[in-house]
Amino acid sequence: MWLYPRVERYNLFERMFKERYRKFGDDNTVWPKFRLLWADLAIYIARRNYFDRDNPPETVTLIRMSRHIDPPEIGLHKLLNGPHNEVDPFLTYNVRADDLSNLTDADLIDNARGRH
Amino acid sequence: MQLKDIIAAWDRIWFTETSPLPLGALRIAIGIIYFLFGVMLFPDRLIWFGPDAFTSQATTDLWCGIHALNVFYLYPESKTFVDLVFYTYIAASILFVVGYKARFAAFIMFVVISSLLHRNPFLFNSGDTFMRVTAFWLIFAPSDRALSLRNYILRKQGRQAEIGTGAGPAFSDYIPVCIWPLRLIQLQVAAVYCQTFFCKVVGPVWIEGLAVYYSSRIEDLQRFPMPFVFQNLLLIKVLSWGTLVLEFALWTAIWIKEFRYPLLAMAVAFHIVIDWHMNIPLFEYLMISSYLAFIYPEDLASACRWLSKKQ
Repeated sequence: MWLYPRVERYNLFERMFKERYRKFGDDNTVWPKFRLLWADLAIYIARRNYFDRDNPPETVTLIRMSRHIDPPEIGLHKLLNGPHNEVDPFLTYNVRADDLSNLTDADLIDNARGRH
Repeated sequence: MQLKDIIAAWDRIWFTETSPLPLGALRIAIGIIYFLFGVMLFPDRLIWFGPDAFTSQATTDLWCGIHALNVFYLYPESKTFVDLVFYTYIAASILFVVGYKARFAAFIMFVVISSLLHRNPFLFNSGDTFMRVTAFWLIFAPSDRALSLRNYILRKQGRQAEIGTGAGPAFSDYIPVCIWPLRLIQLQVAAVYCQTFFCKVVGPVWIEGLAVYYSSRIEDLQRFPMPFVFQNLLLIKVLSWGTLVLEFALWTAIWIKEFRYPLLAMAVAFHIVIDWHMNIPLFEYLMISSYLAFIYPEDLASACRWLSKKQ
């Protein structure tokens, strides 16, 4: 399971640097208007999760987890929205050989060590 | 009023001369924001703009439908080139802050920010667009004619006549500069509030006074909680409607001298409260910095004199 960076889980300092992930992911990419970006994101995830020449990634499924904000009649006294309860698998991408073709052994080692 | 009066007023607004002090102060404040913009993007530069980024250049071009100003077309497969672009940008922003070759530095910053926006526009917000456009105006602004390394070097070289006596303790006798670049930046700031005002009033959430309620519940935007304030419906409505009133005033009443400073003070408080509660790095301070374009030169000179006495 590859998790997209979630800004609210970083400390205050890291959040300042990671806010771009919120803009890119939460505001834009996960919504149908931006479906053009989905395949690229799936390829990125496949390439970053390719550690073993004998066991390359075959499919990537992108899942959006969200929750509607309760209206004030229900949510006024809660300062935080509840846990995400809506799950939407919005893309399943079949990884092609050429998506992974130019990765070197050093890249695979970096992937395994999470150096990205 | 006669036609010649209108023409005279037009000339007075755009083509008179003014002290470079507001531009100098703006350059330092907003330049620090430009510098931090580069520094904060730097760690993840390859994820956003590299050859193996979240999005490819081809996809971005397809989305945008045009090929725009973008240096990444030159070496699309090079990670080193991405590094080079960032090092160049950060160096330019430092030159800009200290006030040496500031127009050239602004040109570099404009080209790089435009390139970043055209390589991957999906991680940028309206504040970044404001930075890009303002960088363009700053290409034409003589912002290094005050509070700058340029002046320091000229003074050391004995070329005092090129900077005026204002570089001394009075801060009030600089060689005047054309006002129109400053006016363009002022108009740009006003345009931001005009646009945001109309974007808000077309939807029901702001008119009903509930926008602050919903925005305060977006958990990945939260920085510090504000209990009570965001749990009181009356306060929430006052803040929502107050935002509309303030943003309307910031592109209308701000041009009236008597209202300008009270409005700017309210706007500074408004942005600081947002920054306390919401994690939108740099945006609030970007807007606060831009208000320096609205400070009258004589007041800035007084502030500079006060600060220099403090040291």
